[in-house]
Amino acid sequence: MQTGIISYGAALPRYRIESNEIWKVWKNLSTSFFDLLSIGERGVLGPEEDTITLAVAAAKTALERSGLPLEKIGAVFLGSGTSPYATKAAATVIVDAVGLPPSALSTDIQCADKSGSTALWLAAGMIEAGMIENALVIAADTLNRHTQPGMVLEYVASAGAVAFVLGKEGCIARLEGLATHSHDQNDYFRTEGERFIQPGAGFYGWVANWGLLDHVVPAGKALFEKTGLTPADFSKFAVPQKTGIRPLMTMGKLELDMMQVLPYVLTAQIGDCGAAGTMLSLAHILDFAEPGERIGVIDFGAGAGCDAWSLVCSDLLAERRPESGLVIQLLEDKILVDYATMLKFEQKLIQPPHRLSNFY
Amino acid sequence: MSTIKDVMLSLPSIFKPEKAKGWNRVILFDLAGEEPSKWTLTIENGTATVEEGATKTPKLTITGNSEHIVQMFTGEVPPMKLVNAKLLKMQGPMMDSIAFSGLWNIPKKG
Repeated sequence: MQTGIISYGAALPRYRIESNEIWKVWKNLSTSFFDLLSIGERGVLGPEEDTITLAVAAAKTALERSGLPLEKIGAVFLGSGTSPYATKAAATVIVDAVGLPPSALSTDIQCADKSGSTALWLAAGMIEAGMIENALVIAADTLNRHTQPGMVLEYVASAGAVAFVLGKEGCIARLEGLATHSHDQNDYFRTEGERFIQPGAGFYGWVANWGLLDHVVPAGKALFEKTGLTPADFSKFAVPQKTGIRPLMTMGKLELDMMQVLPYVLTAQIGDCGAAGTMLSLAHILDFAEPGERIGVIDFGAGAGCDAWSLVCSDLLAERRPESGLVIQLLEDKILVDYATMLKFEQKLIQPPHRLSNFY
Repeated sequence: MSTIKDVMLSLPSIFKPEKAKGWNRVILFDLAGEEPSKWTLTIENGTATVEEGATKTPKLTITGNSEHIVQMFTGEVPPMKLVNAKLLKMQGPMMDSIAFSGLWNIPKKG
């Protein structure tokens, strides 16, 4: 493939809450799970933040780093499961906020936590086919706003956005191959009109990760088969990281080396960023990657499937390495808040009673 | 047998910086046993530095006897064997505990 990533940018909420703050209110989980599941801090939305504002912030960084004139962008895809709108597109708001041409094909792509990955490959297909020159793809989610107080998901439900500018010229990393595996697995979901995500199979234990390996293993193996590569051909992997268990399960079943995976798991620092989760790990990897390195991405969405793909860093990566806005800097730029402030900021004090899964 | 001070001060020389790109952590060794002591290991921007005492707020705390730390870093006993036998305890995200064990060129002994 000639298409690849020209630039990328990430955005995270500055407000964070520590797991202990949540535990002091609810005491609904043995604290031994915090270390076991690598639960530490998670993002808290500011009162004015949502999926769109985070997406716009990430998009502005990515576009600025690309150096491309805005009129070169032929498509804007927002991959998210938590758009503020149920019917209208959020991508059009991004078009206006960033100042992109109205001639750009803009749409939202909803595919659970792998929305961003799927959006990226749809855009790559259009570029590869010659329909457009460049695309802006954003993976963004606000799981925290869509998680009910008192649910154990609250310990990790976070938010973030990662944007990529794609094209054939000036790539810092070229896309190499994609394999995907999708079938229905009705786990984390919201039905029409619901605000809060229902964790059909719970949060911890084997059943909480029901569906993960059913998708990740066939998709990962298909990628290796399709490309003729083995795990040893990759230097690093960005993997699903809702909790710290998922990277271990993915790593074990696909026979990846722990040092290809674990240093790039950000769950303990920021929680589960949904569609931006694996992409944030990819951005973190790109911040420190070297030319020639092959990176694997395994992005899983509950009820959506798994996309497994590879990319190879080019010589331009070293030349155009960002000096500011690194993921590690965004993670460290934080303001800790207490539980009541989180409730206020995430606008959870004014909500009507909600329906829940019977599990929690 | 090496002293705990020898072992702790040797950590920067057996550190694998290429494995820790972007992995910035403060790790506290809170040790009892033959040589009770505290050591703060800071991994930042691909560099490992060691200071005696608890000088920073850690993300990962390793507790156990000093002689087991010596055994671990000199390659006499594999780290996971010590952890599984509960001779060493790691308090902090499990991801960090496992990743930490992959950051060192530990000599292999027969």
